[in-house]
Amino acid sequence: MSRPCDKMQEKIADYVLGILGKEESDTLAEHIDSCADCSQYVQALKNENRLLLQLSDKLDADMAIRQDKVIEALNRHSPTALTKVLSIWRIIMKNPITKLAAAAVIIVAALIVISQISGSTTAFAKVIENVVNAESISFLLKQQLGIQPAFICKMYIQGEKIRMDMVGAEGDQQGLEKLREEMKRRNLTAFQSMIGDFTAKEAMDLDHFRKTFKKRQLDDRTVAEFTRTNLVEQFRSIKPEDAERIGEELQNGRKIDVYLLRHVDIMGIKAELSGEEGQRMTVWVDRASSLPAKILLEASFHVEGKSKDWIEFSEFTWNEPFDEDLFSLQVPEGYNPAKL
Amino acid sequence: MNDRSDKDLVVSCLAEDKSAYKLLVRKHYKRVFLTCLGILGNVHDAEDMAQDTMLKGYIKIGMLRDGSKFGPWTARIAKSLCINFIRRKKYAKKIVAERIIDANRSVNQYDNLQLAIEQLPQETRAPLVMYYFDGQSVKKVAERLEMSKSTVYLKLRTAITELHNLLAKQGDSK
Repeated sequence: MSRPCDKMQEKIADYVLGILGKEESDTLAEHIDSCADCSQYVQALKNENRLLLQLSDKLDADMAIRQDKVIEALNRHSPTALTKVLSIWRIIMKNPITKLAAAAVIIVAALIVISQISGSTTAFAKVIENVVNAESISFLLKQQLGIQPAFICKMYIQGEKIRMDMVGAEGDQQGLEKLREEMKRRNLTAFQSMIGDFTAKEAMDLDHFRKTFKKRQLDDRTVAEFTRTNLVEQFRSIKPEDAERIGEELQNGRKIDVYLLRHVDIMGIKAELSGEEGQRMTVWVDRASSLPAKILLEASFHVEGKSKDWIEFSEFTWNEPFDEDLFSLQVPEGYNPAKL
Repeated sequence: MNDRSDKDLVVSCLAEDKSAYKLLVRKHYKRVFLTCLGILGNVHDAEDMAQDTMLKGYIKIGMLRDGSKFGPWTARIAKSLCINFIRRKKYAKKIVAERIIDANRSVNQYDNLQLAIEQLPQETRAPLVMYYFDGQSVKKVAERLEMSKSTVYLKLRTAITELHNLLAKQGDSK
């Protein structure tokens, strides 16, 4: 088998790929005219190029048959109710740290936006400062994703430590009823917990049903996302014109101002809410303390015109120190390593 | 012709509408298959992994937070399944078995070409598959593989030169 000239080999490949410049193509053409080996090489590569394109057509022609096979396999597949519930658990626990960080972000973001629209920036700046510097926060987080049941978590944040207890689920799915019965039978207040320490860069997941634990390291990105100083930078894109005060309510004798924010675009939440109509964040602020009493994030899908995807933060406590044991990364007695 | 967006179809899937997922299969199968082919090189293995990817996508659809990202999400599943497939080492054994079968049946020019593609290193095969079989521009290939355009050109040049050498070798061995 003859070989092309060493200097020309790459040029010929580029020529066949159609990426050789005009000047170089002309020089190459001159060379090919006078070099049988290179001429043969050009023909061979062109033939192979043509074959590749033909093979592409051949693969395309069979694509529908391959798709039919997948659809046949899909028709045979029917997930059980249990698989669905387990899958929902995994969704929630997939990356709880990021979820926690996002939750913290939302609270601070809401306050910053309100400060922009309220006009009383000096007074509100103090509130933001209070929130950012809060020694401890706890709240209840409920979230509904699509048709899945609403999971309820109790969150505790204290300094650089965080804990999420999965305390329940709302919905009429069969698996959830079993979950609630099982929690009651075992006298459990949470079925799973996640504890994270951003200073130690460590986290631990606890499964209170199986009595298992899993420890993991927190990567720098997750830690950075949680770092409060960086959070403020993430909210600069929020526009004051997207927010308005829509009224006030009286709750347990306390005056609550209600703010509505549209087109929410905050880290961690952006992916769920961006690009669709109907996305909004409602914030209920206790007038006396100037602290949020409830925050509701909604993404309404246009399919049925109602909100199907939402996250609600409520039952806030501020600066009520928690017992350090709540954030302990020590494995509780009787818990074994989780099997992979 | 289906013009529903991926996001819309994913929402329907969450409401247990299997027909919506079938539409997603029709829309995205080719790219998933070619992703697998780029990694594995073998059409039959790529078919198996593409099918597994689409089934896994169906089971895990609830984990997809942004329906408009269905394409990149399934591509990630495909990559992960293919890498596991290779890791399980079944792959090496299977290749040997297929070589023996291949030796006993008549082959055409496409078989030879497919075999040569399979023998390319993965880092040159993936751009080749995307460029020729998925009809993507060099810019798009560069974006998807997170490489510079000049690197993609280099890989394509290496791929077609190497393919030629492999095909020439096959010719010599007959």
